[in-house]
Amino acid sequence: MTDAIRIRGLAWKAGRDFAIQDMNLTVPRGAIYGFLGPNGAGKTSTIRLLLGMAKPYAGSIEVLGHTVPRDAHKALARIGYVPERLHLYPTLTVAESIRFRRAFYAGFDMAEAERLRRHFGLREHQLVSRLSKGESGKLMMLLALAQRPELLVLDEPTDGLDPVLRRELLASLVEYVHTHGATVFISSHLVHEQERICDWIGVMDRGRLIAELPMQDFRSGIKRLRVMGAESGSTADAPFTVLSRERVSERMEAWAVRGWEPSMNEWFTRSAAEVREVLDLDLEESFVELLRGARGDGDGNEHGHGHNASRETL
Amino acid sequence: MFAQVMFTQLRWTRMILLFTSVATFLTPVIAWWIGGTRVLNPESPRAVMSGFDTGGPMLVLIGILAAFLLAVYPWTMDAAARHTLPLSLPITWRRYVAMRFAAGALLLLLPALTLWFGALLVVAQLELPPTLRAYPGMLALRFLAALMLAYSMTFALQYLAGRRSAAVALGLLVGGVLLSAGLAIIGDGGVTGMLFDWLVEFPGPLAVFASDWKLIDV
Repeated sequence: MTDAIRIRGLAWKAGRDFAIQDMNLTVPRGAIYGFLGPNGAGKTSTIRLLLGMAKPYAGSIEVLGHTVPRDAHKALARIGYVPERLHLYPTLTVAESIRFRRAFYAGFDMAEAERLRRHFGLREHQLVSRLSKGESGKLMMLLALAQRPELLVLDEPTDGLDPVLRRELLASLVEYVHTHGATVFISSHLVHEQERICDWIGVMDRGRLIAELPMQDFRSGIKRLRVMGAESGSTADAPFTVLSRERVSERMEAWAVRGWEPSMNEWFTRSAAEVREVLDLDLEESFVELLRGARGDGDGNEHGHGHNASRETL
Repeated sequence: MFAQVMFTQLRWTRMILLFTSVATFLTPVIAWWIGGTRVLNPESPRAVMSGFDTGGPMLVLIGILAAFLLAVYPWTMDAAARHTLPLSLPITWRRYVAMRFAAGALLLLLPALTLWFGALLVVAQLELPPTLRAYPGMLALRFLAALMLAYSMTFALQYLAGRRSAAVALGLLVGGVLLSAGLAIIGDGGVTGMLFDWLVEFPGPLAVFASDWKLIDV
């Protein structure tokens, strides 16, 4: 079975300051893939590229087996998309927006749209321009789900919504995925939200995909070590990836590492250092350490897999 | 699909269409009424013709303005959301633009039709030879051609130049003025006149705008 999304060697540039460089990304079919990254990392640009809204300078993009941007319209017929910003016509009502969308999608499920409209408490004759932010989010999710898509691409779908609404929208999403076995590609900078629903994580920063791994590995793969007596030299020969290291006291350092195994203690003892404590990081801390590692903050060595790490290497 | 595209366009431009359609219907009627009042002989074709002297060109200006707005509106509505909606629809951009164009063009039939009805109504009140009774149809057709030309030019400029369309239009205008001024200074003003004549005289590309906008042309 082919992957739902397969990006290889993608390059794209916007203005002088921002570029996506040599990006490789794979979303398996049936996965809920969380696309994490700080604001301005390039998440929305990547989404626009994979939907064929922008043309890459180099590389290839395949979505549901279709080459994008050449056959983007064929892929889009099977994709439900919720953009970051409202993209509906403000002069139409809720019902008119639903009818407009139905006209373009052969598989649009009007009964489901009606069920979701009632469930979300959206009034038929309300103008889109008069919807609150939460209601707009619900309407966009409704339209995406009622298309019965095989792939849902959601760009910060819950950004700026209150926690109750966020949970409501995510519950609808999870329900749809469980019922229809769809693939989800969800971009967000809300780490805890991703933790609850995703089974794959891709982390993007400054136009680069700095990690891509199963959620389980992400949760357990990054540790903080308290190291006593570490030398300040290179860690390039370490059997793990050092994301960052900080001096805590005169002889004590805190290291954020990826790929740690207890047997790797030996590497420290060879240099007369000692690991005093190994702490699991929560997802948000792991995310921050990954970013720090990729940016080279905190003396991280970015050894081995620091850049655009593939799933095989993690 | 096309019906929905057209529906959105009707939603956005319905007031413009309503105003233009009422104006095109009323222009011949008012011309007849004014002409008739002035000469106290509303059945006189000559009175109605003189009443239409002002109304005719005004009608074309209103039509051109309506065509301009109908061409600009869809692009503006989509541009407000960075064209995300049309680009995320499962059709090619070319097809989407073609549907938008066709929808606007169809809607522009409405003011042309109301002009035809208005003109027919007035002509029915006049004592005319049967051959002259075909003039309302010709007038409505020429009006439709003018609308379509203005609409097509604006639509093409808008969708080809995008956000820069206003700058491109202004650039063309300023370029034209500067060119004619330059030619006038070097004493070759005749070229500008020739170019203008070529544009607006039959069979020039803009000849329809400069037609004789009379209800009855005798």
